[in-house]
Amino acid sequence: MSLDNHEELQKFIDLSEHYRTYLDEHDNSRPDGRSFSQMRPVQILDNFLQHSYGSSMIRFGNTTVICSITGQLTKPSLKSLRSGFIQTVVLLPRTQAWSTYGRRQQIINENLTLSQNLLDIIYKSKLINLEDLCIEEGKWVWCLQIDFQCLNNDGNLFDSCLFALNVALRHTSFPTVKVDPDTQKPLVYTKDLQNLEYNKEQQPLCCTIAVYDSAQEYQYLIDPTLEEETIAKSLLHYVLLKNDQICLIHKTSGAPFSPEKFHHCYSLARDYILQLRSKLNQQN
Amino acid sequence: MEQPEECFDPLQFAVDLDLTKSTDENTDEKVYISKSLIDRANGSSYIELASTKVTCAIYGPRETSSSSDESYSKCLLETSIKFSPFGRQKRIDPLLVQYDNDDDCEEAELCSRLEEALLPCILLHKYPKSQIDIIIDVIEDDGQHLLSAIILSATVALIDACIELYDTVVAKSLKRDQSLFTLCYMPNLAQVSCLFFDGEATPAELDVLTDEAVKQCQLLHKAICKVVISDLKAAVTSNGKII
Repeated sequence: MSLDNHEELQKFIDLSEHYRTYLDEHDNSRPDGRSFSQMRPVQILDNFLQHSYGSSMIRFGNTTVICSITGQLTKPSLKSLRSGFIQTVVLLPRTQAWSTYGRRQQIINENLTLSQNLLDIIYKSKLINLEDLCIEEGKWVWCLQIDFQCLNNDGNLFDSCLFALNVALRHTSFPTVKVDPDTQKPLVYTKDLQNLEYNKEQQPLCCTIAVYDSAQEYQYLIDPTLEEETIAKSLLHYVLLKNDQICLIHKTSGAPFSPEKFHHCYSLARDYILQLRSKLNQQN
Repeated sequence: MEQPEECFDPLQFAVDLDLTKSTDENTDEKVYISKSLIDRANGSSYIELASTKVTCAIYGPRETSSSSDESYSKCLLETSIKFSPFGRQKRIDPLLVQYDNDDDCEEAELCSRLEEALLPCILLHKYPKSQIDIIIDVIEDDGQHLLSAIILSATVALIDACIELYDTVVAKSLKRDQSLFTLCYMPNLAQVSCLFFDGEATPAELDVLTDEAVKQCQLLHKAICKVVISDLKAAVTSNGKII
């Protein structure tokens, strides 16, 4: 946050002007040196929390996200006796909430939209089958709690959260639970761990594209940083499954956008997700 | 989507828990220190001590909204510590966490201890009419190193934020049986900034603990110095960055 040099000062005063001058001077590169379709380096760290059943830490450039999967026991609802529950929470860094709202009273560090989108993806892509969370029909089910904590937000939270979820699911193991036939109380065997059943074939991954409007010509910025997200005309999220099927498309803002451009973005997203997927599987 | 009515922690139904498990006292502890990882903050740090993981962000010095007499002559220190949902064995529901509580809770206790430890070392009179916010997130707590990790992370983040200090405060927590001993030490001034002890011990035992903690603090101080110096070197070599 130093304003010592000219570049930092210009960024502070007018971010989009800074971007425009940079793009005029340089051909096909962004201020951080990447080309438009290049992604930031990805770092993966898995199983690093000891209290969680499964966890991972992901870094996309400076964006750092921790994903933790824990579970609690609960009774199923009367509508569906065999299905468990899933809850997702995305927490933003409190520092960021602070600088945005300025005052201490108002710290909104929960990203509701992102939490709900992630939950929808898990449900609709059948990544986790709710019936797999059943312990005994009508008596006990698991309530899966998936928490994302963002340590530093430098843009592209959606991609990193979904990637972190895929990594964390791979090593998630739950304690074995049996139900006592006399008292109906669950018996938890903490030493006896078994892997969580989930659909390994789906692997939903997200690609975020920032559409930047420079001189009547759209530039598509893949894996945008926070600065790029703020100056972008609109943001596009494509979530693709392993067989290149579209799981979710989301476009922010009301800026007009022709169907051909959606097709173009889809092909960009597919290439990016292919790279991301190879990184994910390499780690196995 | 439907939500469950009541959730139960699986550990309360555990049948094979080993309650007699003794905590290893003198295991080799891994220490990992890094800084400047949060872009928006003026200074930040990430500390791992054994399996305790803490991040700290410093915001300020900035203009204060307080109009008390105290704030005219020196800087105010605001601290806020929060546990992440997965920080403890039992999950903390993030939807129930309140951010503006001044009640008696563990976080408030930790905050006051952190302030006690830091106040002797910051040159508060250099920043009149301003305040420094210290925001700490506890990612994971193993029950022993929490307080020392919090104090260490705050120190490293203060260094990163270029706030003037008399000395670095290094803290070390030691656990003996059921008692927890934490010493905050300033190695260059060779002074103890504060000392916390919960439990029972004879004066002789306390002396032994203090000597042990001071020794460990000096090791930690070397580790911090190494990180800071290598960071400065990297900043000098990177083209024309002003420090």
